[in-house]
Amino acid sequence: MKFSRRDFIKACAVSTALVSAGCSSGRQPVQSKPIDPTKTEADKWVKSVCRYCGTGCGVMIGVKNGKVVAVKGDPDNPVNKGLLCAKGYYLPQIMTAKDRITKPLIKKDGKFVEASWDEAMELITQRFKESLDQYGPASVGFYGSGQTSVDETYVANKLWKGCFGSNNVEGNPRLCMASAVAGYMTTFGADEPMGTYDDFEHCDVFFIIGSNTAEAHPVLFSRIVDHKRKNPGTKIIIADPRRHRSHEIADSAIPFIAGTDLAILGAMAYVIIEEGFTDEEFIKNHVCFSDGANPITWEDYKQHIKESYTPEFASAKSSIPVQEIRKLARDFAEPGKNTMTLWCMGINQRVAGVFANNMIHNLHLITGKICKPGSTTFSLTGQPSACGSVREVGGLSHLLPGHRLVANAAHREQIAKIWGTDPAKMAPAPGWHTMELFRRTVTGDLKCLWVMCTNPAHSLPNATFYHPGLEQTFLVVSETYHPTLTSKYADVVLPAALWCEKEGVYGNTERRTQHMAKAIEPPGEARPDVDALIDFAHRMGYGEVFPYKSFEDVWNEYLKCTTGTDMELASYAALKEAHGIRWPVKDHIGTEGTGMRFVAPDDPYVKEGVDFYARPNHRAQVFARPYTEPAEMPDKEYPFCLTTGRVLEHWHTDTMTGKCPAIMKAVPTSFAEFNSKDATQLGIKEGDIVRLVSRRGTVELPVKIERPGIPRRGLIFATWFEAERLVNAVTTDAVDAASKEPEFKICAVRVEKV
Amino acid sequence: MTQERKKSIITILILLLFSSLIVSACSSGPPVPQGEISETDLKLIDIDGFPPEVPHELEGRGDCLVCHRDGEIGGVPKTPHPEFTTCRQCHVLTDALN
Ligand code: SF4
Repeated sequence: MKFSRRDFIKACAVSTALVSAGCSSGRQPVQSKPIDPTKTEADKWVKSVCRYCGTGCGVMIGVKNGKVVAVKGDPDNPVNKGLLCAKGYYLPQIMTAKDRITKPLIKKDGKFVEASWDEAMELITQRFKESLDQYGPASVGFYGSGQTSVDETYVANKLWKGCFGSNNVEGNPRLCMASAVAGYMTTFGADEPMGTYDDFEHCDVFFIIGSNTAEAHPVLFSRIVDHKRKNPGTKIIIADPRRHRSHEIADSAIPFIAGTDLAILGAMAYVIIEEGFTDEEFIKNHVCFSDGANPITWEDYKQHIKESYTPEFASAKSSIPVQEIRKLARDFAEPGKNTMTLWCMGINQRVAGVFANNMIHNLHLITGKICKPGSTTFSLTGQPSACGSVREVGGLSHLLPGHRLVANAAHREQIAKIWGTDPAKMAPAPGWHTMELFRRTVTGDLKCLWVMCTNPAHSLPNATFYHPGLEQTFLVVSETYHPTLTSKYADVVLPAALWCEKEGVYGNTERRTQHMAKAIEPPGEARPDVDALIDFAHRMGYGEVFPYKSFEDVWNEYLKCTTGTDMELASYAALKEAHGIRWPVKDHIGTEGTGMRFVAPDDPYVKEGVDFYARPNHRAQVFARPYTEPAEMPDKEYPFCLTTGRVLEHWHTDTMTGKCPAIMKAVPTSFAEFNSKDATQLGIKEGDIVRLVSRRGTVELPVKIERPGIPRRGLIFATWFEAERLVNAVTTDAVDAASKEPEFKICAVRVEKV
Repeated sequence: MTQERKKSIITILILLLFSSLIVSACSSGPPVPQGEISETDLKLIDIDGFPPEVPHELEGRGDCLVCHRDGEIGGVPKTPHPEFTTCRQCHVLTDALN
């Protein structure tokens, strides 16, 4: 007989339960390791922010002999109060990786050769000038990132939109946040969550949909875990077609058929209305209704829900029993309880992403579970500064700084004045959104593209389709590492300073703007991206409107773009001192910032009670949205649904996490995770290699069966961080009609044994 | 003896071992509130280098604290911060996913 470790653990688990039951307060006092200052070998500790996710954990960077030797959680940062996740702790290892580039590279006869900065910048200048002269402003594009510092996108935006007259400025937040932006814009008239992380500690019911918080936002998850431990009555409901690590603390799970979540959200509204959970007072004072084109009444909206979203309909679509849908709605709407919805890419990366966002907001608005501590609608952001450096700076083709719009003449006028540029030079129509921008590389309409701090050849959906486009475009890639899938196609690669090798500012998910001090020098000839952009602006003949000598100069100009808007930011001095400040910061004064938006006394723009002041009628809009399915559902030929996502250890295209040996040992390759019944039916087992085939492409992946998560039957989950196993060759580039965000989360595949 | 029976006996032995722990744990030390993480505790987490890796497979051992809370079983390392329960947030596996 073998008494396996599994049996042993089962026995232990029972015993532990007994220990706790028998003697619940008998544990020895916590013996935390005391700080021994003599053991901490760093010469200095520098306050900064984690380089990875949108949580925006504060870190202290230990520096010795000009090298990063340690990273610790900043105990004074209210975001993480000293905690980090594994990615944060391993940050020192990304700094010294062997494939860091330290000199500019120019491709000559298909080979990269080292060049001087002057030579590289002259070549870029010449090619951009030729393109602008011959083909006009639309022929030059910029593709940035939610990982750039605020100043970098700000300068690029000004140069392209203000000086070149090209609105073809995009960034990877289009791939992850655009639907959330459009959701907040349409419902509340202003982008970004009104709540904050503080709401976690006041929340009674967490409704988590389309987010594996435990792995994508680990420190936020541990705040939820901690809150639930202190308040055992806290309910956690997870709606997701895949059982994942976040379910460890779930009270109930709603494993709907992937792609049918709009039916669930609609049916929740149905039950809320039918069973009388609505907050008529709140609706009367703060809500209006729309069918997407025209105003409608509360009665019209109720009629729409009644006709389109019966629980029976939702049950038939989603496979969730009617009673469970009703229970979900009751849990969500329970009177006297505070409810928060958290969501992430499962909702946003969808052709109905904006509808889904609106429908989440609807639930909070009709129940009045909003604008109270612990009651709010909170979209989780993937990147450290998608909010700060792209949404707020206006680094997308339709935006201008300070939540302004390209298409609004007054907005163009205001920004041109601050920029010192000619408003007539600015194009009045939005530029190409991300997928269109890359399509135009394939058609040849886009001649020159500068890609900064991101890896689109790996991260775009249907990626291989766009590779020939990248090959033929004059491509500048500002990168820290080389080669990446994208830098391979570059004509010029510029060596970029990384993270704490430069000064910068990030803005996280909860509107918190955080300063990052420079801690060490970049290696070799690597420079901050902003230096390269300012140098480029001077060479292109726009030097006089780019007179900046320091980060502070850029910040002060950007600050003017936010004056008098709904997102006034903090002053440079205040940011340097504080551990992050949440906007709006009225008149840029102080370090306090704003907790809850749209609510007095937190929000300095609200006199009394709740005021959705960003909407012309001061009311949030509830939208009647039709049930919409994904662009591609499984069928006979492609019978499985593929969804992609993260593991805790890796981040995006693993250009950084792939440099950390411990992480690579833990999760060395991407994988495809199957439900055991599907695996049996397919005749595949753990460790086999399978080929996933979609209408667009194929990828071969090692099989895992029901680990680390459990996808429901018919669903395959795959990680996508590995360049050699390019899962994005398979995903679909169908986009949401309004947000233009692609539907990474759902496509149809078949499985072939290899 | 059937395999199942042998397993049950070992299980019972382990349970007995734990019962003795209950007694000793209950009789020593002042009672401490469960699950509180104070600001000072957080400040005391001092990471020199990286959080230790998990050098063994999990095999269904989702709850690390079963063994590592007290460290009594087989001399496994005792966590200095049992109040944190999302262990794999910081401690990565060396090979469990392979
Ligand atoms: S939770 Fe996010 S921000 Fe915090 S340490 Fe982990 S990756 Fe960094």
